[in-house]
Amino acid sequence: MNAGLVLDGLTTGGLFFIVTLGLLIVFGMMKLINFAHGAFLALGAYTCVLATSHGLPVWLPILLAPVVTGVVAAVVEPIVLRRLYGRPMDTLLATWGLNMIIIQLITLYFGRGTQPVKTVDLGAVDVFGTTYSLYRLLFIPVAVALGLSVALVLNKTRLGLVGRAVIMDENLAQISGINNTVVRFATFVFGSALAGLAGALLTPIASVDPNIGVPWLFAAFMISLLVGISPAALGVACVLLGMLQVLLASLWDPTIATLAVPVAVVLILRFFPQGFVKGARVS
Amino acid sequence: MSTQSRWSTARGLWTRTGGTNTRSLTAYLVPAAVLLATAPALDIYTKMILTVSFIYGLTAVSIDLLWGYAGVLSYAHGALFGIGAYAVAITATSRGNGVLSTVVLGGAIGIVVACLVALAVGGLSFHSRADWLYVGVVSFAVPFIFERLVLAGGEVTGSSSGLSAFMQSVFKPNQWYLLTGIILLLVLSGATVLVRSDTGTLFKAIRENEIRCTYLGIRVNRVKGVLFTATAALTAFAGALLASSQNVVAPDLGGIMAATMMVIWVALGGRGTLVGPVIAAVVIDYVTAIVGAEFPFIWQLGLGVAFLLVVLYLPGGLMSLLRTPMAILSRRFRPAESDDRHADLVIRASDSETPPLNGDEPPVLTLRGVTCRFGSFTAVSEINLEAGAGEVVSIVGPNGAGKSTLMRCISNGTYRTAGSVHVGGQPIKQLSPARVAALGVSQKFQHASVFGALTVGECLRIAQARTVRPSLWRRDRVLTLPRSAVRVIEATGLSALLSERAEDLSHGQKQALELAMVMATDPKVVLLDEPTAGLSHEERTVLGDVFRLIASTEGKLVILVEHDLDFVREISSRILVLHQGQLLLDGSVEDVANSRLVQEIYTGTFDEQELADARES
Repeated sequence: MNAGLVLDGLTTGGLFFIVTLGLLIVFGMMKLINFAHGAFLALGAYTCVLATSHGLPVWLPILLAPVVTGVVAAVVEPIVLRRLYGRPMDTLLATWGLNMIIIQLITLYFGRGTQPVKTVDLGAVDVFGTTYSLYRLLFIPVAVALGLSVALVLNKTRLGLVGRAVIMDENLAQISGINNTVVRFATFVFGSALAGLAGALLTPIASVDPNIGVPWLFAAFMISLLVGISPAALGVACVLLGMLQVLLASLWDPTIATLAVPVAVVLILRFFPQGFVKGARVS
Repeated sequence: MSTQSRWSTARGLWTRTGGTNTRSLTAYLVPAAVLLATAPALDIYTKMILTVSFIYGLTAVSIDLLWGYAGVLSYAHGALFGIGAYAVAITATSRGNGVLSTVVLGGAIGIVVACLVALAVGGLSFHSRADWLYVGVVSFAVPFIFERLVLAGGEVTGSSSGLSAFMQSVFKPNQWYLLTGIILLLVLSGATVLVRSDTGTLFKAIRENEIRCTYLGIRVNRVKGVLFTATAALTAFAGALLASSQNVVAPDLGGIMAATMMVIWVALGGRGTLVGPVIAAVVIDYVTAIVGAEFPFIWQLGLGVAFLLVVLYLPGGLMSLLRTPMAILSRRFRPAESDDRHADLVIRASDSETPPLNGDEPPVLTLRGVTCRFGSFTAVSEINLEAGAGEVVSIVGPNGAGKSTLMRCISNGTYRTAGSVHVGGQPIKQLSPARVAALGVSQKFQHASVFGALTVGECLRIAQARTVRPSLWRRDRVLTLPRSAVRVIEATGLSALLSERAEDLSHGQKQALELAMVMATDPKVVLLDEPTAGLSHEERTVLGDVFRLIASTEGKLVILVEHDLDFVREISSRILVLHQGQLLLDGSVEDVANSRLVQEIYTGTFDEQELADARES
């Protein structure tokens, strides 16, 4: 196997990780699947489009995107999600409706076509004898850094303690004086902001159109069911699935390879309903 | 005692059923007449658009049967529709002609392939350990996979541009319009008959309370799998109609957005109403074709907003807005007593004889070394037990003694960690609750578990669904129940409540109903987990008598968990004392209820040494 393929696998895994982390946090804490995640990815990407077309420096939207997405999430959480708490299937439908609405709004403003974006051009570097895009390579440390910070916050801070309490037993947390409404609000905004960041990071390598988030949403949805709330398990799953997809793409067909994630997840969960981590799934 | 008991609410047995059928027939004949009458007046363009809308109406019927009635949300049907369409297109392309036989062949291939895919998807989705999220994952994956496969299909599927002009038109637009309109009406009528039949009630029961169904011996996953496959065939048929009438197919026909639209039609129209989703599908698809061409994004945005609003504020869809005025109207124009279509149910006791007990039958229930651990905690340890027909066995012990766990080890073959359970000589192995129920075990849960949206009569009908196959097309007016069930109904006054909705019953009535449902399965072993919790003294006395009666005269083995020792003393023939997962005492009422050990265990004043001695002996 050549080094380029390994790097492809690792960077694809890193990308999966970045895209999934926000959805995973919302899923783990709030026990709901946020199907608007795809639209939030698109919001992040279009923040880049808007910012760079107004002449802002190309790195700035990477900071702006999570803010914009977080603000939108902060607006929709009380309007939509708070009302549906405890109705997981309706939440899934409602966030899917939200996804449609946001994507249509983007389409109304920007049109259906692909948007040109000025992006960070870092050029290529030589690693292990192959020339490889430095930008893609950066996905690996970015994923690791994001994963570590979430794990640190979750395990070492008071905020994380509250979070873990809510994950384990929401009712007990509530009668212990934790304000679940605030925790859920903050979780949703934070998870969505991560989606915005991921969308911004996607712009140099994916063509920016209103549906940019949809395939990623599916991959993220599937992966998060596999790994529960553990960032470490997410890392392992992403690298394995990334490798699988890259291998299939080089050996067989790139379009078929995008089926690697859904097919693998469907089969794994059929025989191991708990996924990678015992006790990770909500019942 | 008479072997035949009969109740009738004395209202006309025939008029009501006849009325319902006439009304539903008129409901479909009127639009059919309108359809035929307007055909010459409409222009070709409108008819062509409506043809497509009618075809999508068929998919709305599929999704509503699955989601609205059986509670299974499926996005996979988007892909199944695509499979039907592509099967016709690919067949026509490869055969190079467009005669009717090609359409029929292609459609047949599409339906077969869609059924195979549905069986695979159903096999993955509907098994004992799958939760609804997993079903969602699988169902979302299918349209995604379909789109990718079509894109990767090269010349065979036409990749991203799809296939077009693969045949000469089989029918003229006017004929397609009539044909699809009539097919839609026929399918809608058929589906309406189905959901009003006893099988339709079974679907609703599964939607309402899957666990209760399982413990009544209903193979829920099989029912869902069959319905899923049948609706897959209907959806693929619709897809085949689309390809044949439009002469063009594209990957997004079977993609996730198409699947989403089907769900939106059903949600907007009103799940579980059939007519609502069909109207929504036809109207929305028609308006999309007209308005959507000019303002596609605004229209899609409006649909998204409407969908969100319905999910948030109107779970019953737009049909629920119509229902209230319709109910008021029907009350005004129709005599009040004919409003209830369940009022004519007749209950009969089955006349099979229970062989008299002579005391030397083999044990009905045998437990050997039954142990149940949760991680390092042993909830039930090494229980040995033999119990025979006609016994009333009470299990007592403080909270956490393992009483409910022991019950579960008997009713669910997958629950115990070690040991064996035999029912009527048959081992329960690792069987699912539904299959243990088929061996003759029936359990009543601690919290009354009934089918809230169903009437009492319907609940009892579903309780028998394992042995009496529900009709696909009619509602049986006669309900033949085992005598033990009839005794429960008789004693608890349920016979007067047959047409009440189960969720409107009082707590005590719900407990009685669940007990009657448990008895309706005609079990050998009846497991009752705190059957009198929260009941008044009076209700409790009635139930106590019933328990004794079904054991002594119907030869059931009744095992119950109870806290009230006085009650236990009154009704039991035998008492088991569980403490910390172990069987401490097993004996007659005199032996156990008066024992100091039992009192001490309950009050927590027992002596460890004494306890150890008791275990020794």
